[in-house]
Amino acid sequence: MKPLLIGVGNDFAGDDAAGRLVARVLQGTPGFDVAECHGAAADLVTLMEGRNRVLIVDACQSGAVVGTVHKIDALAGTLPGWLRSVSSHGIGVAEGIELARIMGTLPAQVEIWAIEGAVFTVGAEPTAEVLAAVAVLGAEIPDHLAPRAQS
Amino acid sequence: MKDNTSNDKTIKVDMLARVEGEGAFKVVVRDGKITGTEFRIFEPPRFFEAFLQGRDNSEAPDITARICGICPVAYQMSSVQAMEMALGVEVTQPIKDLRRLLYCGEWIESHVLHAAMLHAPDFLGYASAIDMANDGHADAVKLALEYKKIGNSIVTAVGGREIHPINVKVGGWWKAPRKKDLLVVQENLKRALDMAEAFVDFTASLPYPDKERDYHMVCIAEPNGRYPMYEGTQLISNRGLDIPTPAYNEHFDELHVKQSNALHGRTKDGGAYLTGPLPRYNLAYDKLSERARAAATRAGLGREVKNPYRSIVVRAVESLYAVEEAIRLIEEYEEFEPAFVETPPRAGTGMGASEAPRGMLFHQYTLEDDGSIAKAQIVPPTAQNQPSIEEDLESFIADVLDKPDAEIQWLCEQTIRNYDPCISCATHFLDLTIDRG
Repeated sequence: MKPLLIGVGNDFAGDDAAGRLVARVLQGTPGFDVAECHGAAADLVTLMEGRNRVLIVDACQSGAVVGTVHKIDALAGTLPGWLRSVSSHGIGVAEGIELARIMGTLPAQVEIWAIEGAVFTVGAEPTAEVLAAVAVLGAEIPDHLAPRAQS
Repeated sequence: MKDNTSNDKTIKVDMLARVEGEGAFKVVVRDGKITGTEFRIFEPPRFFEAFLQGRDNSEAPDITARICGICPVAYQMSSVQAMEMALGVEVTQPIKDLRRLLYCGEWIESHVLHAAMLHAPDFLGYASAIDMANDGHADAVKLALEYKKIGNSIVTAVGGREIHPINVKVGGWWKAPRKKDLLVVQENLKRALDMAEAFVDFTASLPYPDKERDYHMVCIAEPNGRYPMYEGTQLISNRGLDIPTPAYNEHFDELHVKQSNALHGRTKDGGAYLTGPLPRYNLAYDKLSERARAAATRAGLGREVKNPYRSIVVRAVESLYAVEEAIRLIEEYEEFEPAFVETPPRAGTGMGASEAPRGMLFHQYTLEDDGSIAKAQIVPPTAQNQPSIEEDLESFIADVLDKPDAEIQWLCEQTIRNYDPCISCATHFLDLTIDRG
């Protein structure tokens, strides 16, 4: 199966839309598949199943400069605590990865690219810095996930 | 006596478009007896009722679906029925049957997610499903994820998208699915029958508190004698209620509660009532399939269930029923055109009720001459159940007040999750204060 890009987030909560916006920019790009989800662990486990390589893009709040892109190898160790769950169930991205690890279905390569957001209130628009980061990732991810398909 | 406010924990959740928010519970104990309880949640659906005003009636299914990411179908189903009544149109039986099929998908994925990932950990002493899976219960979690996925596949095939389906419209469907595509889903559903039976057995194996209350149970009744799910033309109860759904507001109230932003549902005489799997099971047991009834018996459920901690088993039984019902509906499905009936705009008022996985969901809309929404009322099951939740907490923790606060809090959370409310979704949703004076 092709690598999978999963854009995680909430369209209605400002910078929380970041992951989904990246996914939409890259929908249809050759060389990898694209999916969106709101970040519930169960859905992530299902989406990742059968894949060898997954890149999850999500928003975060770590205290870094807004628009910063954190790149995390999900298999390298414990995920940072600020990679908060966007799911109302409190079982989101970090939990989905852990669950897949326990189930034995975690892909061999899982990365999380988290865009530092500032505004997460319902009804807000994403900030300019986050939108800029979305554009940067939109240009960067195709070569990262499927370089040969882009040439 | 000690005031344990120093143990307070507050987790703030984003105000998403669903019934969600901080859950806080305060118990006042004097002389070893509970003299007062308060249960508070912060509830956003009022915003939906406001910003629906001025919108076209056709937008209601898509907008109200955003109230909940777990049960968007329920909001769509109650809204389309209410709108069609307001517009004076009657949809065809094939349209209704397809709506029931969509609902089966939602029941399966919602019930299984809640039972396995959110509630089962309470019974087994785990803080989360992750801990549960990590400690010998990986098979149960794996079963649940696979089972839930099949429920999701119904919603995708019929609704066009797994979450917030896009194929539902006032008047019917944008497009009727192809039979060959549904037959693929049916094959998976047939595989799911064994999963469903195993899931009933899993929930039945959980240790549960032996507590009961005499609830006023309310659910819809369908005109065709089916197990209550989609077409709520009547509202019935175990205390003699049997009214047409449009009479809902003559028998029930939504009340602002002084200490909270939450709305509480009560009967007109001020009583609490219960809506959800237990009322459906108790009031429509005979309408379950033979297989589902047999599974219920095997799981130790009687003809009546008054123990709310057994609602997790009832959810598993209902999920099994939904699998069978979906198989049947697909078997009988014939492609149809047009996929919808025309809905010319007109002024009117309409009401609709259907059974979300967590209970009866009532919508009422008043439309202007041009079909735009003048007024909207949305009554979610969680709002209706809040007084019952308070009464459960008051009743069920009275005999554990001498236990450590952590143990009391555990039982409170487990009790609240009997209701599968969206407020239980946050990891540490409950801020417990015990005022011992």
